[in-house]
Amino acid sequence: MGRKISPAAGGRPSLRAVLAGMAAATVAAAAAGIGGAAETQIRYVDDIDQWRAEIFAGAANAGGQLEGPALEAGFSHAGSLCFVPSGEAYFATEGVIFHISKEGTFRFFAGIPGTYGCADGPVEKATLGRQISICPDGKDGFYIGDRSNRCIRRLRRGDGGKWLVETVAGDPAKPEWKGKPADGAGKEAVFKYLHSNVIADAQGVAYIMDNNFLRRVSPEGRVETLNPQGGPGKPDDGPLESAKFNLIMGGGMCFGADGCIYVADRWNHCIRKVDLAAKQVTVAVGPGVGFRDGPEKNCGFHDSPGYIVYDPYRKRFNTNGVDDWGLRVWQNGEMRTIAGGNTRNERCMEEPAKDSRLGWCGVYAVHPLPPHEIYFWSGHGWTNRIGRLYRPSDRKGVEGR
Amino acid sequence: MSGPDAFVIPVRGVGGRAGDRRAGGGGSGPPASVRPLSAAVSAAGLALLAAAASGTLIGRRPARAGEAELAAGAPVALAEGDLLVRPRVAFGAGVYLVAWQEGWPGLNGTADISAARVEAGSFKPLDSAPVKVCGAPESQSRPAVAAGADVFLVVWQDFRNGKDYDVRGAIVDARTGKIRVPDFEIAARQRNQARPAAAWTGRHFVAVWQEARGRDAYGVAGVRVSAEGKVLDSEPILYAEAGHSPAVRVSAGKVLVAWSDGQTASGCMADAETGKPLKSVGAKGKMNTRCPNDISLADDGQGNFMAVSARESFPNPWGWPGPGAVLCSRVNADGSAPEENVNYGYYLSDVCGRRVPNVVDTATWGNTDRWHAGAPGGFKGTADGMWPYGKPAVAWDGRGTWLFAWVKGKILPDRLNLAEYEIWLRGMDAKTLAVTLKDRKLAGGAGNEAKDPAIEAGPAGEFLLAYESAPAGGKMRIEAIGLRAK
Repeated sequence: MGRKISPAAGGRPSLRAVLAGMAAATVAAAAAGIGGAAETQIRYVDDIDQWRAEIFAGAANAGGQLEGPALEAGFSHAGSLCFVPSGEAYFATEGVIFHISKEGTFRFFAGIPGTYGCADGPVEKATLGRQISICPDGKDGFYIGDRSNRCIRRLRRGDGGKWLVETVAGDPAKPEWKGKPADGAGKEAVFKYLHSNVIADAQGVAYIMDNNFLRRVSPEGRVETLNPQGGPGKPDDGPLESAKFNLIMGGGMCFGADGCIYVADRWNHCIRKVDLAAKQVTVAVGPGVGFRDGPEKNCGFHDSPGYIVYDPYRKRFNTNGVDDWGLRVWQNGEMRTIAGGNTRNERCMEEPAKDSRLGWCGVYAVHPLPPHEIYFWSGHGWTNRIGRLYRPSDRKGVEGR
Repeated sequence: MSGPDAFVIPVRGVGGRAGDRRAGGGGSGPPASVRPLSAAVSAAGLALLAAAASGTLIGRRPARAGEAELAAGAPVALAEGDLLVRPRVAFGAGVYLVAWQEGWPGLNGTADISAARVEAGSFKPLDSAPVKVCGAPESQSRPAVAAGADVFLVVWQDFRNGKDYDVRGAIVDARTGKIRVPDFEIAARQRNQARPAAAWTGRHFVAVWQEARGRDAYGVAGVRVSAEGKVLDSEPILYAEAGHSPAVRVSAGKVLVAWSDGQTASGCMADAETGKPLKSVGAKGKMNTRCPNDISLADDGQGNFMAVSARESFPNPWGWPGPGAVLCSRVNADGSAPEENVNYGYYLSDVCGRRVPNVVDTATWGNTDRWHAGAPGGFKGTADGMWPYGKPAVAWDGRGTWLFAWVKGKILPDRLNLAEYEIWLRGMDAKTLAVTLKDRKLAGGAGNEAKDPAIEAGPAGEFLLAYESAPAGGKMRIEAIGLRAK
């Protein structure tokens, strides 16, 4: 356990000195300059001194979309990143899907650079919206949550193995729903605002938060609202059918090992657990405000939780608030910080993880191959880049790392 | 007679959009008599419309007193296909050469570089079919073109090795339209060399590009290339340790290399003979500080340059990214940069209010003259529902006016996205930056989007505007419109 340190303890050297050698530390520091009056309380993961942050991809000043080696690739929006079991990755950003080879080469995979739209067809002719998310569809393809076009798209192999884009559900020609979501098959379904990311189970059933409604999309494109009696509201535990959320530009989600869906319920300041089998929704973390680590029922997020990713290799969740200045881990009933956390960090990005300056950050995914690096994005010096967290000791003996 | 696509652009001597404090009667701008294009065109009195394809006279109407005109011909399709993008144009030896990217540049894709000539004066296409400048495997993309004595140098970024970009080029004969020197290396070292541009000094070309430097950043470099396609420098010339998306222009023996660097449009003057950098523009190498994207350059033939660049933000329901904007920045023959220290205010509010002199276009927050990012109620839209997307271009009319072209899009109801892209035109006085040619839409809109304009001056006050056109449900086209000041 750590101890509290007053922000009046002074400048960086003394702070660092006190923290040195501690397995976990609690730092109380007013979030001065960040805009929050809530007390900051940081408890680092036990092995915090082993974690490092590094740039995986993205040149500091590529000037827009560019293919090429990872550290020379160009992109200007955080987007959405997913891996497939081989270790290849797919990165959805600003109207295109990049393919990232195991060696780290970025290539355009779908969509036309600089052109946005909702045309289906072969990947070289299809157009995508600006704000898109991507996840494997469990059937060798991918779902694309196309916020800009208010629809769910799919990347799949067509005849001859050629990749194509098709619209599974929703119709960009229709205005967004008003009042309650419209369910149905394919174009009958109407979406409003698709939040951070689409997810899918092994059977190819997709889920996404649409405004304050959890929508389920079958592989055939039938859309069902799982909380039709829900809408905006407080995070009361209860039946899924009437579960309320409070989402504005957030709503990151993932599956846990238990098969439940975990939703970053941004403006309710908590993580919600959606038990699909029991059809119940409960608060799993929080609610709480301020960058506060600690017991899951007594912790918080500065501003509000935005993203969540399950790490099946370490059996824990990675999460963070939208404008938190650190990346967090939720495990064994506790929230801890694994990177950043100190607003005084300002020197360098690639540092011991706790010394890296992060802000407006989020977690993308965990690499499926050892050493299972954790991929993230962030503002400040990380802008236009994809970062990753790793422990050097985990890379020993791992080929290609 | 003029068809539905032919039109006249009326220009009042005191033109300018509502709210533009430098334009319009009673504004602070100079009298119409000091606005060269206006004056010249006023004297002419009539609009002359050239039918681009036939070169025949297709329309006249009397000009009203005090009104100047710029005549525009009908669009001519130079090519049609599934994906045709990024046309670039140069003028030399009595012809314009328009080069563009044809095809998709991604994994397992094929993109090539094609080009076509357009005759000056008549604006008639000279080639029965576009010439394939490079059809190598993998992708060739983002072309640029420069005119030499009787040749054109076409340069592009090339991903044929499947790993990283190189810069390659070809020499096109201006008189025949045929490839004189096929596909040669300009910069083909390991790592990325991309987004090239080129200009002709009178003795050789200068080709510039962005290249990966250090571990994860780009700088700007270049070489000289002869009219015969020989690279004249064994090692690239470094223009900037940090920068991307360079542009280059030559005027009266002066070479301006410009690039984007974070929030800044920067540049340096280079020696025309050696190609080596001489000094930074302005006091600190900056042309402007808040509008760095897609720099395009023109010159007046007297050593003075105009840079136009965009701030390519998109709408947002709360306005956080700030306004989209197109700004112009002068670089004088002595290397001074009058707009280098212009302060644009909090969230570019002084751009929105047009309280700074070098605004070509800007998004507005409703009808207000400031940008209220994060204000309660959020961003409801601009006064006219349009948003400047950028992709600007500029040319010199030979009479004191810079002619700007850029892209605007209609803001969609989600206040996040744009559609129905259009190409707009504005003229601004070289000395005062007053509006001499009122904003007018030239192409695009609902059902037929137009994007990515390139504009180049030809002889005697004429211009060729090239752009990509995407008719709804139809194939894409590279189109060109001839423009003529009268």
